[in-house]
Amino acid sequence: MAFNSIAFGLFLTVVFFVSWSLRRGGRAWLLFLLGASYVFYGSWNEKYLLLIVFSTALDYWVGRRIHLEEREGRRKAWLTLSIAGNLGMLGTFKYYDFFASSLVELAGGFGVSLSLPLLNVLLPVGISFYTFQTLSYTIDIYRRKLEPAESFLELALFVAFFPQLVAGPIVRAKQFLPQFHNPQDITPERLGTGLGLILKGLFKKVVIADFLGAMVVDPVFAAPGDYGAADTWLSIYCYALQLYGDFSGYTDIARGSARLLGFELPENFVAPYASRNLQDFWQRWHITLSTWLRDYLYIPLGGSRLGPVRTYVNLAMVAVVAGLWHGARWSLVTWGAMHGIGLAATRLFQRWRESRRGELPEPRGLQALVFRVLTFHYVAASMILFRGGNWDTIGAIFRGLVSGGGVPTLVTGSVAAAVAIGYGTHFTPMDWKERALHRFGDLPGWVQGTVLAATLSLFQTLSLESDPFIYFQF
Amino acid sequence: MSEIPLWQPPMRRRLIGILAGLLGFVVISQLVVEGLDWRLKQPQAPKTVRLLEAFRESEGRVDIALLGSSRLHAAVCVPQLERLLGERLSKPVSARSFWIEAGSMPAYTIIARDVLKGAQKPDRIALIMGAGSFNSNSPRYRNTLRYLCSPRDIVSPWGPRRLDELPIAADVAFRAGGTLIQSWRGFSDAERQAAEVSERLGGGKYADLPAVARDASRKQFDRVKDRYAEEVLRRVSIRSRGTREDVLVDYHPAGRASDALKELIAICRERGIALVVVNIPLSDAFCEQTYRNREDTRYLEQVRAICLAAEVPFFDFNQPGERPPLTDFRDGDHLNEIGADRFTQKLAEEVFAR
Repeated sequence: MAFNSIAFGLFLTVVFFVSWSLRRGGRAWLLFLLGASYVFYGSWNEKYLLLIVFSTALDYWVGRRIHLEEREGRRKAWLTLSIAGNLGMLGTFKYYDFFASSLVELAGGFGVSLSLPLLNVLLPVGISFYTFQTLSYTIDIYRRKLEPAESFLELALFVAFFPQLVAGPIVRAKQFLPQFHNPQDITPERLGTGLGLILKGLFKKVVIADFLGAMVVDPVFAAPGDYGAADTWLSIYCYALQLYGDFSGYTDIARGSARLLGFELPENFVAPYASRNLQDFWQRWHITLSTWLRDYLYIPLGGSRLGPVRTYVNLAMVAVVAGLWHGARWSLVTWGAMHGIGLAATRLFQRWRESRRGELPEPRGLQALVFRVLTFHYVAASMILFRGGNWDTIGAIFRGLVSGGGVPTLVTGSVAAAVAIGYGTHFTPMDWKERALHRFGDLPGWVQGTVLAATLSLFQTLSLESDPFIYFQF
Repeated sequence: MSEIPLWQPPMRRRLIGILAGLLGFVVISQLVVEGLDWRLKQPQAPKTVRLLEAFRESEGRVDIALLGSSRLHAAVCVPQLERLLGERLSKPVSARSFWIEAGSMPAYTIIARDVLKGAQKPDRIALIMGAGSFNSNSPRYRNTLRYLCSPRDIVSPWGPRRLDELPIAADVAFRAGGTLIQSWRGFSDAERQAAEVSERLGGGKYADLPAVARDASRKQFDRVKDRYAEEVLRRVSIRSRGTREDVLVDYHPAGRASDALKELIAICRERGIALVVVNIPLSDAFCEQTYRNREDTRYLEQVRAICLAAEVPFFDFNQPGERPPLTDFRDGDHLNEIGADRFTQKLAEEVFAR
């Protein structure tokens, strides 16, 4: 049940009316939302519900043990159990086949014949997202930053809450659990902005991402040798927009759906392609993942406290883990490494500039523009690794960027319009977008209904068969 | 009731407003699209649906309209049928196959009702199908709902009856708005011509034949017949499994399928169109492997009874013992060029020339 399907629209409508008809904060309300979330997840693959239930049960039990335990050694042991359980599950379903086949290949390179059994299992949808959520729950209890959930029901709903279950944002328990006890009330304004967020997300997904994917990105990446440099450049600009539209569109729909049900989810994207450097980029792109990695990996590794060299190493390590988190492929690991090197280089450059000129002001004007353009192109180039799939395609795309063929053949009026709208709205100041959302929320109901129907009709013509969201595979 | 936040006055007003805007847009766009007769004007729909609209736009007319699924497209070579009938009846005869991908009985009735009408009314309609088109519970029915049904069909007994059909029906509610948004788009002449050619040829052409026969001429074919049959047999098991899982699920020849056939008979009678119903030939191997729950028998009983009651001629070309050999098929249920040649001849002689 993808967010961009009519089935989800009907499902959300039913959940909306039933959930607001139940007493907020009551057991029946929680139970209903949990049931709806399990139905939503079960529509992908009901068998994998067991994994969510297992992960929830483990962390509910371990979380309480850690909280009640005073002895540090025991607390650490319980935490280790939780981490091993969750990462073991993630490793088995997501990484085992990858590492096993890589090992066999490596051994083959040395002339050693190795045979390892492969699981060949379908990756459970959203496993990387909910595993990180449950991990942060037990770690926060261990760090005494969080009280355990009051009931299994609450924790289960935190893990499985359907708007953010399959592709984030990665929510922290301390942000989410209190919302069960202080539920937001529904108001016309919240209803309007919730609907507005959903429409905005659908627009990004259907009109920008899917359209550019089908018209430009897919053809070029399917046969890179058939296109010249102009088309190849166009395809990487379009892919940057497609990936952003797809993922941030999903987040908008998730936030809008949660708001309709009385919950607030964190923002995950803040105009990432307007970043001045890679550090800035990771503060604007998939914010909930980068802050998770910062809090639970980078800082425990020592962060920037152990000297410059260790800082660069830590940055690179975290970026490689981010790459691996996105998928079990060497090209994604390389994508992460590319970002790691970029982050380390950014830090080195900043230190060098500071050492020469002292505390530097924020870059402005032309200087800021140059930094932004460079950062964007570095990120867009790294995305070739993200999209490429195999090394042949990746190599062919990089070669295509410097090949001949200066006239783009894939630019049509609709493509140009989608690119212009996509980048135009991307670079629109955030407060303008926020104001537009609130203005939509204040419109009379019949206008909102008409806009909703017209937009759904537009989507119906553009995507009769809905494309799955790219981030579902993570 | 008043304690429920949704029913507090400001929220109630807002929800009623949203619902009114939503319904208003849906209803007005439906009225405009139905009023302008633009329902089939959907450039995003599958090719066989768009061809129906291309036919309407061309304002063409044919003497004989053939209704069926891809099996019909493979089984009948339209130019050959026209030639044979022209020779027999000593006058030019025009025919056209109005086949539809993943066809269902209600789809054929809708085509007759909404496309073959007015100045485009044919003299004869031949409904050429098999048991697969006659399953009221077929998952394929979703395509009919999505692309062909009008809003009144959705609320009629032909409307959604299974849970998985409900979202499709909701999709239809927004289709009219989408049709209006894209009404500026049409078919180019080149598209129309290409469509016309592929539409008229059919008869096993353009079909993916088993490799062994791909390069063989008709004369050489005899030499590779045995190997060809072996390959077809391999395809039969795949096709058969697919048909059982995708088309014959929860087989139910009564209900929507029967209602649609009765409706087609009523439409033809009202418009003065001669209707014949033909049971399309399949291979023995396909029938044995596919109809494990007597689906073919149940289908035949139902269709025969309806045709008998309405005095509509029914021709069964799929009787055991009279079925074409495996070498006449490309996969056991779609005829190849040789099979289509024979079947077209049979159709001309035994069905239309009478």
